[in-house]
Amino acid sequence: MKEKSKKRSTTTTVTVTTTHTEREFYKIHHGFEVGEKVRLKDTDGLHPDNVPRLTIKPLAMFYGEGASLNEPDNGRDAEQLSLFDFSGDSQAVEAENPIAAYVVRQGTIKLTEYEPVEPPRFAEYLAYLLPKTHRESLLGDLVETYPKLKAKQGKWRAGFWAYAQVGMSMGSLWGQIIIRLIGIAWVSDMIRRFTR
Amino acid sequence: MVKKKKEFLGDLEEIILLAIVGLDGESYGVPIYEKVEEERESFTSLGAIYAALDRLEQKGFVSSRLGEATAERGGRAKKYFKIEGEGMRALDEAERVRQSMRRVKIGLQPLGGRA
Repeated sequence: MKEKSKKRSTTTTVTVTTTHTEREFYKIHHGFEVGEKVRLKDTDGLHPDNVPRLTIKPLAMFYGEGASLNEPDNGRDAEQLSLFDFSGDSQAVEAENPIAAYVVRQGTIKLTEYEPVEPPRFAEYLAYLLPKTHRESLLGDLVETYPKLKAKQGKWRAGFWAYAQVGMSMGSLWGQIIIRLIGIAWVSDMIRRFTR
Repeated sequence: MVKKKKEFLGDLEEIILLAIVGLDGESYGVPIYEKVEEERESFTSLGAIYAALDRLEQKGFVSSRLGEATAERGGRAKKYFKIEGEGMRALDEAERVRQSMRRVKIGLQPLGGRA
């Protein structure tokens, strides 16, 4: 029963109510915004009006081996309990991102399969020094590629790759800007000399 | 009539354009990066790819648009790049020049330039 519940909860999306710091955390690592209204995707047979609104608690509180899955009462299936018990007071709003986390509501915890694999934090921080034009796209690419590399080549090589990417990218992107600035300085110097 | 100055492609720029063509004419950073790295068989930085894409966009060879943010990217949007007609023409031109130079190398007459 637990296995089934885990599988179902991978497609769960949630409404988030957290503090500012946590908002940053969720935005960066889970791709959804605080207050973003989202719905359960896996709601076969459920009337759209009855799709529940869920609340997620700070991930840090539940993340890790210590988290427990509350057994549903009334002998019902966990997935059914989590769906139907919330059905009275909520409405569904569309959202694309499949969210993985521990979904908490009225004492029921649904454990998801998702475990975020993130690039080294310091490499991510360094990436914030990149020029703004491509920073977000590049950070996204880093976050998307790192787990694949980690699975294929291991933690150390993937970590090295992340740092190398950030370092080399700084050279490429800032280099282009510096060359432009030198060009502008040279042209303005020429104009100044010519008009003297 | 004023003749437009020919824009030539750098090595990385050409590979990126070919990668985009191979990815159905439109793609974003990761698939482009993977394709480029596969072809070059050497380390390529994402920054170098974005810098080259910047140049290609300035030359009018590609256009870009922001896509959707996804959870697997930590909520960051993808930036899609699409090859434009000018980009296709630049690729054709690069191929023509290459073939022409090859003919010179083996002692044949070079191919005529475009009208």
